[in-house]
Amino acid sequence: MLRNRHSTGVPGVNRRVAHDVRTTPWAALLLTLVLALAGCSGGDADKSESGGPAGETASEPIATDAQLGAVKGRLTDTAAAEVLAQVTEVVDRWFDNAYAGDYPREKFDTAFADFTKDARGLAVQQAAILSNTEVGADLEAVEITQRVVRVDVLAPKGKVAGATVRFRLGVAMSGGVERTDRVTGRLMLTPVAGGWQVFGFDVLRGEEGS
Amino acid sequence: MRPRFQQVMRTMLLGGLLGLMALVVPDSTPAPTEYTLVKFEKTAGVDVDPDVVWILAVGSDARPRENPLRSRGDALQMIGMNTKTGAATSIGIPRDSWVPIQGVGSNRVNAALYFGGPQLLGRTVGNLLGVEPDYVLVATFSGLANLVTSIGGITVDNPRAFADEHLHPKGFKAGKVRVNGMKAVEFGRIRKSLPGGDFDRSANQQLVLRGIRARVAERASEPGFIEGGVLNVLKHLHTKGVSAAQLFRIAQAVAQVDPAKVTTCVLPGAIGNIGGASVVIPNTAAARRYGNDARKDATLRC
Repeated sequence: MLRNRHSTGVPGVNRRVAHDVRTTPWAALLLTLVLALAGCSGGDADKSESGGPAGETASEPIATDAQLGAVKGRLTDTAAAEVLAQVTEVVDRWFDNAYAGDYPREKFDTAFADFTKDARGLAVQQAAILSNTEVGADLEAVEITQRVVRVDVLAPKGKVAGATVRFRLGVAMSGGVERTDRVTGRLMLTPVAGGWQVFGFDVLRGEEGS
Repeated sequence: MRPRFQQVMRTMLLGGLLGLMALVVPDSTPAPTEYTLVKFEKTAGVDVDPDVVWILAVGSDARPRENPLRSRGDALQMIGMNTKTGAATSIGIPRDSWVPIQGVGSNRVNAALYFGGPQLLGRTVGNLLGVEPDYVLVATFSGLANLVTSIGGITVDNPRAFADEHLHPKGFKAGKVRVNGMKAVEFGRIRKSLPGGDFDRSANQQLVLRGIRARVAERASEPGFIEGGVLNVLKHLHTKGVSAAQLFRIAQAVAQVDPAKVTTCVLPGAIGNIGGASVVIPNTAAARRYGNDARKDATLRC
């Protein structure tokens, strides 16, 4: 199993927050919807979903627990590691620009920088779920308490064609809003020149424990 | 302080798809295997909403070693998916609908595939509904059966018990029925014992589509399910110039359809007799109304 640990890459994140880092059980997610297309077994995926690393101090940016999930098709270890790194980088940028960072703030204009134009337009309409836009101005600080990423890859004949990211993010907010949200779901990506782009999402956000 | 945040919010959407696709599959390509995806060459000036993808799904009655692209379409469903809202619709076209076919004259709609392949069939159905497909997907009996098997079978909500002494003598009971493989195909093929004949058969085909949707939805969050599905389809899909990434996007669009926003209708018509053959005289006004209704947003009222 390939694993990557990525720092947030955002200096100063999480350093002003007094919350304890908490780990909670992975609440089963009912993701979904529709129609045709052929199936598969999907049985080779990592199902541990063990959650983010426990025991981090609040002053340290939490690392992303990134692992390769199901790979459908052929992929060398090197290529798989590259996909994992590139896709995780995109997801990390979204995590950091949409939820982490310095607060209070009102600008989230880079939150969906790695989304396709259409997906970005849709994401902006759902910004309360896909970012902290709605509460950013009221917050004093945000601590990311959990960053878990699993990357399923489609690679027919060794050529990478798409990826689904299953993720779990813990967002502890303080200031005018005091609560910890759990953001979970899937991002759908395809490779583009120079990296990956998010073209779809299925995201659930709710207060931890609700 | 703001009120305590308690509700769980969810969003799931896809960016538009059409601008990202450039499928080119000429009609003259060799006989395909189980599925064939054809980019339909739209006529100029057709009003198309880029958020709605239209796929004419065709169940071919080709037997083994016959070319499914030059057979007769046994099942015809015009499926629209709105990638921004998650809405989807299917307009069932009775197979025996008597319609004008360009360059051929009037004939049963399903004969358009035989005479002119997917392009002519797409044009014929497009002329009937006023909505042209973006793609024509032709599946053989075995293709559909394998698809249903590969997702672990489906459940159909059958409104009435029915059987067919040749296709399925044991019959299907009313209510929720679990079907797999060729049983799913038989469910959508039986006509003679249904009170509404061709119309009820088309409605049954839509029940199969709904069953497939539900099953895919159920499994969509399984690790690698969509990726594995696409890989499986690629093994049996006949296309040229279609990238795996494009299929991956289509597959994700399928998996994002909102079950609460699925509407299905069967084009009404009257039973007629032409040259001694029983045919359906389609209600062309209803066809146009359906097309106009669903064109922009893939929602429909029957």
